[in-house]
Amino acid sequence: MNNPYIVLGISQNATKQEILRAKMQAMKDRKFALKEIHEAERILATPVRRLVADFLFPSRIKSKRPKFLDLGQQLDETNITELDENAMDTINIEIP
Amino acid sequence: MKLYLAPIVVSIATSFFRRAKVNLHFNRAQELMDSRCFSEAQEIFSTLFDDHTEAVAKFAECLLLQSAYADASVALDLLQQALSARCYLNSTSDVEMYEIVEERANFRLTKLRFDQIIKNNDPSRIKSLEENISYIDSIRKKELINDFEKLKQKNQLSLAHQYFKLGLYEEKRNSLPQASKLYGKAMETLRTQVSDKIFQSAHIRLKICKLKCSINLPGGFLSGIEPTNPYAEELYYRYAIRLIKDGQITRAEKIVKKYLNGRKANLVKLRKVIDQEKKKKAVFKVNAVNEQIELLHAGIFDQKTINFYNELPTIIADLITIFPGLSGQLEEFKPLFFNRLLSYYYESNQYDRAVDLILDYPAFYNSPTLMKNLGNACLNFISNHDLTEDNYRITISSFLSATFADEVMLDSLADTVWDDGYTFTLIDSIGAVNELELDLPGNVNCEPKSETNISIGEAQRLLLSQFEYLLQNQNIDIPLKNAVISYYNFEKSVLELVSASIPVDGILTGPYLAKKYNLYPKILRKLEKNEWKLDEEQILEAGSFYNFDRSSDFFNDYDDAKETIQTIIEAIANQDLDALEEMTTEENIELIQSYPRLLADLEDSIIKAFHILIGEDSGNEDLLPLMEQASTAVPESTKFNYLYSNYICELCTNFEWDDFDGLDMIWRAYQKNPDNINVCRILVHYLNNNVIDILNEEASEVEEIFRIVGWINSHKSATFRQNCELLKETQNKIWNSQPKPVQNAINASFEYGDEILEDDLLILKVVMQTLVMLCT
Repeated sequence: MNNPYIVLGISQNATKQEILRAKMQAMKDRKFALKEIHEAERILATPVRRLVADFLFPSRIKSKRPKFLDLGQQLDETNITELDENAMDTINIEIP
Repeated sequence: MKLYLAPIVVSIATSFFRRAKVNLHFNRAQELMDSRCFSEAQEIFSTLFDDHTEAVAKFAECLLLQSAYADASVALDLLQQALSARCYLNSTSDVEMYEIVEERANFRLTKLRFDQIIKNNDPSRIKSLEENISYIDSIRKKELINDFEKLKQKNQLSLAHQYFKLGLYEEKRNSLPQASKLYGKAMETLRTQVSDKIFQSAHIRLKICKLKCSINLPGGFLSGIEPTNPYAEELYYRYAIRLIKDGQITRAEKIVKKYLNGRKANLVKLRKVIDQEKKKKAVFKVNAVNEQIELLHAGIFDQKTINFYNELPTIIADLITIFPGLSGQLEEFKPLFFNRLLSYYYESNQYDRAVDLILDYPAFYNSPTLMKNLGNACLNFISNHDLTEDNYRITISSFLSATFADEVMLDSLADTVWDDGYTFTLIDSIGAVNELELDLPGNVNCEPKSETNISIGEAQRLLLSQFEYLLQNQNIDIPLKNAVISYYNFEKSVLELVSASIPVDGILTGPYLAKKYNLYPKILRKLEKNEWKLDEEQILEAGSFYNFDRSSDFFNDYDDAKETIQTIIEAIANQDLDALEEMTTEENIELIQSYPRLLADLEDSIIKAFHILIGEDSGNEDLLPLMEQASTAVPESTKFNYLYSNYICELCTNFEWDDFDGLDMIWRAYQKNPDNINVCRILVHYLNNNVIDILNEEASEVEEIFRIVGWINSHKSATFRQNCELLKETQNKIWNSQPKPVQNAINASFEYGDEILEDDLLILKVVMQTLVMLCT
């Protein structure tokens, strides 16, 4: 059996009225069998069974709407081409 | 006769005088040599080459000595002459003596040559050194082998130095292949002296040449480099630049940090470039993150997003080190992507991945929301996938941990809009809530349940029954199913026990999850506190399921006692008397007896184990010693004594025994259970038989029979007394069957002593006395 919230296409915040409306809509949409839609509505109308359905309905953990990362800082002008490979030349050092 | 002897005498005399003359000359030459008159000495020695065995050697020695007083060029000539003297050796010469001198001459010669090469800085120095080394290699060495080795090393060092200097010269001319070749030769020459400075310098300059030539560099390029060498800094510097150019910024940075941390302007610039390159790379990553955010905004979710989520911890760690200012923003991504990924797995029925995703989330066990998700993902996992035994373990433990946590249920409750005025009660919840009571939501209480006060415990039990139904209906092999259900029952019973034992200030996890995520030490500490002041054995029992590493002394004794019980039961099941004896030591039994519930468990388990064995074979007399040993573990157990004596009764009743064996067996049962009516009846039966056997002189174990009779006589139970009719009948029957004179004789013996009785009458008297004694 599918989770009643999924069958009726509603969230856990749905009020009694919204559940009834969702049931009517689900019957029109016919995505699920009529028996399953009736059962879903019955479950959500029975508090203990609704508690079980709530437990079995995944919740989102707290998160914020994603924002683009903004570096807000310029890269320095220093470039690899500025490095002189011969700058640390030691060839003229006396032989140890 | 005289004619014959005369030439012989003359010949001997001539030889004697000749010998004396040679020795005289030799001694003279020796004296001249000692007084440094080398030329004269040599002249004399040279005349004695054919006549004196040591003449050649002395001649060479004389030249060797003379060379020490000559200047270098003359000395070289003298030494050559000494070496050339080998050609004068003949069959009578002392070759060994000559070779000692020859070795010394060779050493002197090669040393002089080396000194000459070093002294004269001519262009052929390399060739001369090479020749000298070859010469040293070619000559025979014995006494001076170490000196030659040292001399050779000196030659090699000078030769390597020459190669190295030439290498530098070529490198300065930018003739890099030639320079590399010479550096290579220097290293090759010093291959046995790799720690030498010249070797190190050549090694480093060779690598510098490779860097200058832009040759592909092998792995471990810097291995064997001595950082204190004056050329090393240049090498590190050039290598770092090469790595930067190749995009290997991290490796470049490591080298710079380790070897190039000076303040020289070039090094400062190098570090700055590395920082910039790192930032450039990080910017790429930032752009990649922003691309993913854009995709999330557009509702696009695919494999790339999954990969990105998996790499997120590394990306975050990398970016934070370079742009610490982004840390807050970056940390926010994890829950965001997690939510999207979880939804994706649910939508695509990939509950196995959903479970893994949650289990990988840092400290998921502290979050009621994540635990709820874990619980429902596990339930879906079991109903939609094929699981391995390990999958079942983690799934069962996770589901139960989530369902047993009242905090998880309350968190789930908070997500729902209840618009019909319901309240919810924790009065019969299956979790432990005491500390939560302090901060319960407005619609939650601990009042009795009613139509409007909904039981959270009922919902928890419904969840458990749903899960149990799924487990029972798994389409898997029976052994696996049995293992899974047994495991479920175990985890559930532990959670029930521990939930009833400690107030929870978080989510209590089942043993499997607690072990896997190292959560058990906290549970053990909590149990040790025993805040609810419960019976200590309950606390110990709960803790025993979490004392994985035996780190808590508080629980260890109890765990030992439990383990001992398990081993005892295994020994009984395997009918292993030795193992049983080993485990039922006084010390072990005392330990178990200090825990009354464990002792009761032991008693039940022993009885159960024997019931199984008896069920398998009801006539197995081998069980008796096993039972006797087991009884030492539960000596006060009336239940076990009943089982034991009853089993002996059955053996005695259902099988035929020799009279003494039967008596011995039932006597053991009587010792354990003296008031058992069956035992007493069978005992009386065997006593009767054994007494008659004695009378008929058919008993083989008379002494043993009387020992048992004696014991029984002093331990007669009420039930025994009530059931000894048979013995009275036998007593009367025997007495009445005796002729009068026999009766009179026996009666008289009470007055006049047993001496008046024949042996057979004496036996009769003793038997009669025994029967009377037992019946009294």
